Amino acid sequence: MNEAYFKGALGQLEERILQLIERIPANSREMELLEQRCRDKLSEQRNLCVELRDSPVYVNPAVQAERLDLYRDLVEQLDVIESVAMTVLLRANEDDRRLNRLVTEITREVSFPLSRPVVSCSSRDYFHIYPHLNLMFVPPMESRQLLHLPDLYHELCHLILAELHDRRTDPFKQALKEIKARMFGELDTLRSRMALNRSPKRLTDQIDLWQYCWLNDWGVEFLCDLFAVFACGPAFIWAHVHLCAKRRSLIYALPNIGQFSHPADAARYRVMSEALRILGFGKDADEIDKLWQQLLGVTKETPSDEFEFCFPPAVLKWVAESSLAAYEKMGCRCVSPKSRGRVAGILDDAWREFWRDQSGYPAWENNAAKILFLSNVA
Amino acid sequence: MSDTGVPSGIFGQLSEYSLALNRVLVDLKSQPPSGRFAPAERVKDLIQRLAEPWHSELAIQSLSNALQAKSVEFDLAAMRRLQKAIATASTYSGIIADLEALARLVRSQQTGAFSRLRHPA
Repeated sequence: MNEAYFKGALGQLEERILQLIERIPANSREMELLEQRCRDKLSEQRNLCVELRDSPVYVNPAVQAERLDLYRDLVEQLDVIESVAMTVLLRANEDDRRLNRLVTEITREVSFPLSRPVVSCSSRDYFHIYPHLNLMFVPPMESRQLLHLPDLYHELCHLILAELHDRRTDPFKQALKEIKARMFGELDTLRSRMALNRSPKRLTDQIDLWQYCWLNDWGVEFLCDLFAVFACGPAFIWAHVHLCAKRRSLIYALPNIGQFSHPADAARYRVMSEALRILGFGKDADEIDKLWQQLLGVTKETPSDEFEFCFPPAVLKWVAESSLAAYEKMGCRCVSPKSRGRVAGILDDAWREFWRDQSGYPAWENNAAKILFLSNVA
Repeated sequence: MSDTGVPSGIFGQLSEYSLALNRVLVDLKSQPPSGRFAPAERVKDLIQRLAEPWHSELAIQSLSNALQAKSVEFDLAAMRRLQKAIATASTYSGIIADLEALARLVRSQQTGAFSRLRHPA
């Protein structure tokens, strides 16, 4: 790459960064964290951009590959900031602000070890989070309804597991390592057993894929579910069963083709249910289980023969048990049948009311949402 | 419960490693050879953590998968050479080639995470 190209391209990139900085709105204190994060990241990017363009070090022909790589990094990061974070800031509205106040209250209620994320009610794809931007997305209408709000707790935990520098998150990250080690060992043992039995290659290939999924995404997703159960209680599992009922997905799905980012819903349900019982919510767990069994009865889904190899019940139980200690070591607060915070309490009440009076529920929910959002602290 | 949580975490962490690795390479290529190797902490972290059997860090897990799959030119022998260089704070003749291979590994995983981030399943 010749020098003139880098001069021109980096100069143009710097201008784009400066224009983005100028467009950061001064929204409100609810969005301040994201405004500051964008400002900090864009300033860092500008500094690197200027360095790549002007520093005599980068004129050296021997470092052009690194220069190009750093330039591409800058462009990728800027793309995400512009298309994700800046879009949120430029479109922030009252729904965003009140959901941010709610998430602030949740993080205080739970004693969440990290800064709260900023939340935007502009998701086109259910609840999700960008830990590297500390930014969570919620579908527009979910901020006005209560039954799926427990999913906020699951997303919060992704921040813990993506955190690199804060040692307060170490207990949960240690739990993640232990889950991976245990499950990897279980599947290795299974592979050896299958080799002895001369099982078809297809089965041993499946084990490789299961190990890959457990090591990469599944351990993380199980821990996020558990965090949500410990912090929010039965409402999170009701929300999970509700989602499984509403959406067309296979409850016992195994990753036969390609990678699955989330473990099978049935395995997730089992881990959550174990955790709920450990917390002392046995009666609630039984109630939820009735609905779960009804759902399975209607869909007529049954697990394949391999399902319990991929998700051994004893391991799922151990995952739930061992994670509680890690959660408490982070200093986070657990719900219990006798003690629940204001937000977890209202979300729990929402599900109780849903079952008590289905026809009256929408009116009850409208009123409860007002109480939930109006009272929460900034 | 969508698919951005893990790839965004990987992308953010790999970006830190990529920046640190590129800076080390630029230093090594720009300065007269001194025989001393004192990379930034991030690069030390990367090489040391990659050698551990289990990983809680999403980015390291992603790099470890690629290493285990033996689909990349950066291999365990290169990792051991770099670990030794860190332990002894001294360079060796092929250190730049090993670091370049590691940087390519980081880049390939970063590209994968970026793609998952932009086009969630």
